Amino acid sequence: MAVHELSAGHAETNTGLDNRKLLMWLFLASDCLFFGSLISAYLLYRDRSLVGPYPSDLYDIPFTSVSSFVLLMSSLSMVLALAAIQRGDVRTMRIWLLTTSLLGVLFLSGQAFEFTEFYREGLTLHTNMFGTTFFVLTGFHGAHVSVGVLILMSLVAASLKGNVQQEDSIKVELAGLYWHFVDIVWIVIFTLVYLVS
Amino acid sequence: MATASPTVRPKRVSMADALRDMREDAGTYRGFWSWIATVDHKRIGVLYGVTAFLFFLLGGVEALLIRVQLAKPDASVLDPDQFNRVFTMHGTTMVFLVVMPLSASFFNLLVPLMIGARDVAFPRLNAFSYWLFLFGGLLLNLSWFTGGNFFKGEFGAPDGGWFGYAPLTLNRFSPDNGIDYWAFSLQILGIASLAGGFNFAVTILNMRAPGMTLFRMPVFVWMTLVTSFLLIFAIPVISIALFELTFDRLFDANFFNAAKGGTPLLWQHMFWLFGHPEVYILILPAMGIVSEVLPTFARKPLFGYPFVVFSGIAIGFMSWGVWAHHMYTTGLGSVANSAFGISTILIAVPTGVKIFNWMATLYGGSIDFKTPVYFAIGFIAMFTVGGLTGVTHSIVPTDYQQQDTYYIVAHFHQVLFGGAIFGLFAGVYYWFPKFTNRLLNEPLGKLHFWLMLIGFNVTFQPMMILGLLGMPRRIQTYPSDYGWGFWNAMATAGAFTIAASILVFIINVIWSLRKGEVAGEDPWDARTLEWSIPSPPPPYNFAEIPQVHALDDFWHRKYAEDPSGRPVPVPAGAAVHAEAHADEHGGGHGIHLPSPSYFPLIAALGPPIIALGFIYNVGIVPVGALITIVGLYGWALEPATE
Amino acid sequence: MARQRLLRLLRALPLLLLIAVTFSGCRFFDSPQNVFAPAGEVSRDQKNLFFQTMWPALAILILVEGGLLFICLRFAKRKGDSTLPRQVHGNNALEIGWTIAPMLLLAAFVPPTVVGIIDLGRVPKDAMVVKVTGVQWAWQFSYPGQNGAPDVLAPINELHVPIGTAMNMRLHSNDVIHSFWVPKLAGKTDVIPGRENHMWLRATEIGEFSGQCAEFCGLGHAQMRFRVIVESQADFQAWLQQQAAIQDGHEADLAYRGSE
Repeated sequence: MAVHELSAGHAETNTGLDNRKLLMWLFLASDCLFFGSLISAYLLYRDRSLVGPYPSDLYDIPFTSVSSFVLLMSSLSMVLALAAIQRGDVRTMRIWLLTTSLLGVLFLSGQAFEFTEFYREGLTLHTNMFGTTFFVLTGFHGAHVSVGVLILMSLVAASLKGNVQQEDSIKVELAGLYWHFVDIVWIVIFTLVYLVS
Repeated sequence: MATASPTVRPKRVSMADALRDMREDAGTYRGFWSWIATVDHKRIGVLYGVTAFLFFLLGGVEALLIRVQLAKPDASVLDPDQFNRVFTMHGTTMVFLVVMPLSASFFNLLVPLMIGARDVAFPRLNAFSYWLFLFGGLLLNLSWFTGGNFFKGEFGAPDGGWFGYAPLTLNRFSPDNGIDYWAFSLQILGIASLAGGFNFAVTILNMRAPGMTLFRMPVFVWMTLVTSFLLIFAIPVISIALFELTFDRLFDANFFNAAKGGTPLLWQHMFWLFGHPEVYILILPAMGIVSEVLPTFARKPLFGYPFVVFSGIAIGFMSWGVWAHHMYTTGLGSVANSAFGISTILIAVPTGVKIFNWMATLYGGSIDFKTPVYFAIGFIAMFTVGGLTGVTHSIVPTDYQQQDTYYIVAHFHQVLFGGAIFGLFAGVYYWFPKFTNRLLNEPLGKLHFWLMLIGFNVTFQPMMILGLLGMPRRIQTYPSDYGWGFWNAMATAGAFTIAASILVFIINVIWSLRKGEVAGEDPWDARTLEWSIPSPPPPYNFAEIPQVHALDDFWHRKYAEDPSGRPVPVPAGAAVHAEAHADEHGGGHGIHLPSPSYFPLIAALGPPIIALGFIYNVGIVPVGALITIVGLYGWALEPATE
Repeated sequence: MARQRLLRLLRALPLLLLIAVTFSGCRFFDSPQNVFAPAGEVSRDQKNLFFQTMWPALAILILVEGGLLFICLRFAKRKGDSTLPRQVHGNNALEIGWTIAPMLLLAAFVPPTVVGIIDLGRVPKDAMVVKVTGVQWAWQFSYPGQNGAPDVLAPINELHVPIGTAMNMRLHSNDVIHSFWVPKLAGKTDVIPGRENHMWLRATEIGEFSGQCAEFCGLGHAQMRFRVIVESQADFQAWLQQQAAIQDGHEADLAYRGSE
């Protein structure tokens, strides 16, 4: 029997959207509920810590602003990566993907630094409601960023083997959708958790 | 063409070649390994159905144990520890390991066929969902054996109820790892369901045959679509709730810790925010099945198709606004209780619309009383009772008496058993011939129905009385002078009658597979596309993708309507069957089928191992993670073509 | 035809049982926790409200089940007759009708529901306060002392209440969630750690009434029962003074007592 992969990208679809792109949008929709639940828990417990340290004792808004900016810039480099592969320029795409990954790792390093600082100041998962909700929320976000970096590096590796060409630009587009989503979630977290107090 | 029997193979050149050979073997649809590597929606549907049925038997045994313990006052068949574990597992099993996977079984078997597609959008994701379900169910039931000597009645199964309220489920009050097994298993099952939700939503939105607009889809496909969206939005909420519980238990977090400023009510809000859409996830597929069965046997179309569709969509939306009706007695305050009271009272409306439309479908028909329509009508009769008792719950002040009593137990069994299970059995009797080319035995089918209907009512109607006589839920025993003994004994008798009916069903299946009347393509003279192809369907489903011109397109190929609206058979020569009976393996014609794959199974093995790592030894976690990653990368990098 | 008669009988079963319940004088329809034998103002109002909804629901049940039965009998396929019926697709007027009518009927339930919620949520001003504490697996009751006097503790699982007096129950838990429920006097309210819930009740009959925890709370859940003794004002005051006099020793009762 001749078996061929049901190539989702090539078949005509009723909505006109590639199956994989529709999948990614639906996944991001469910991820909205995922982060929404965590953010709600944070907001619910915001002023309910019985002991410190409290957010105002620990937050270094300038520092976090810089790392937020880094993540924001990584979305820009992601857009540039997609633009490159859409015009067939694999090498430039690779450069911008690596840049995005690097900026992502930089963001994660900032998070790690921040977490260790807070820990040294006495904030653990167990200390109070702030510790519990803050670490779990930002921890899950960091995990999402890490997975994103893995996906981007996988694309880089695949492109080195010649498996990412102009006609495969959808793969980069999907990675981009995911990356931008994770960035937007951070904007929401930064606003609600850090800035609004 | 792959060779039909294993031959001596040339010496392996590479891993890639070895994998390719394995996949070719699996692609022949022969043998045990072809089931392991299958990505065919029809096979996955069978896997789901058989596995879920086995869990149904397990959950049924758990129910019988409960009923034996409660048949008499002051009994000690099960001590409180055993009883708590048995009823927790009964509820968890029936919701997550039976009704949801049975629905998934029907989605898998029918949706591609009903929309004229060759498979779902993501066949390997589909297989992954099944394997995760199987491994999640096995992980959960592994816990029976972790409490000591199982044969001495020392169980390790979770004992916090299927709803796992904090703080009872926190470490301090549930120190053994049963709750951890429960939480991790539900996470794994949640991922399986979520993936299924994505898969069927994309399939239905994107892969319908040419000419099949959304409003030419069968109602069952619509209900699958609504259910898929409910899953997509509800599963993440329970997932976070379970993470929060797990973090409280394993890492000393404070999500539900009142001593540090947390509140146990957060668990309830999150659980029910998931939980209420979940009950509609449980019932909508069965409602879809009933909407397919009734028209076929009434010999006329579904009455009010657009309204049945819209009421399903309305139920989907409204299900998000009623969750706190599970929390009326927690002291939320008059405003909240009033708001949720009103929304709950109103959600009865779309369900009523469906029931009236189903009755109107039967009205004026020429009802052919075969087993499927017995179960479908049984669904309507039972669900009406369940729905009306639901209305009595929505009247908040009276719910203060009803909540947490057997009156509630009666209500939800009425809708989940009298409703969902009856509906699912209607589907089994209806579509069994399509996938096996055998009709199930009619007299046995009717015996099953009557025994089940009688058994069901004898079990659960007394529970309405017990609830109003003040018997709370989840109690291991009760005193002899409370007046509850008689009704409990009756309920137990009913439960064993249900068990007998299931035995009749099993006998029917075994007998019919060998000796049942051969069905052919269209034994019921039905209306939807799956009846236009051979029984069982070939791997490629349709030799040519059909061109759809109307709702119930297949029916219109068979019958035209005269001016008074009566159907007239279309002359034989003019009927265009979309099927040429191509040779066994779907002969060339450039039909592209998805390649079988072992990677979904491998990827699905990882999460349970990660779970066991967190429960016993963190060193195992990286092993599980590695297996998952290997599975996912293999999946992603698998060659697309042979 | 015998089949259809059986069908009719079985469909009527839930109906018959429901009707039977309302005439709860018979031995099989009574219990110390019978919700339909109220001995308090709140439970009486709840029973009345229940019947206000139950009768219309029963009427609809009869209509639907009866209609279903009629349809099954009237429109069964006749033997040997294979003509197909008219292929009716729908009727918009009917659809609007059977959407609006249930909506109106259900809307009629809203005012008494909301009134009931507000009434039950508003503790009467003259209510006597009782502090209720649920623990695994027993109930403790205490009466706040007057004018700086210490709280009076009642014996474990024993609540005394003067007849005709509104009682303001202040509900607490020391460990997991339980639920305070005396079916003959009022509905239930959960006791939740970290939070104070409240409800009120007013007994209208002298006697001893049965209460039970109604939220799953672990191994001893089934044993977490308690008694409510409703007595005259004079008897109650006497009992209260007696308890105040033998105050000490009761704290020790709060430890786990296992099954009784």
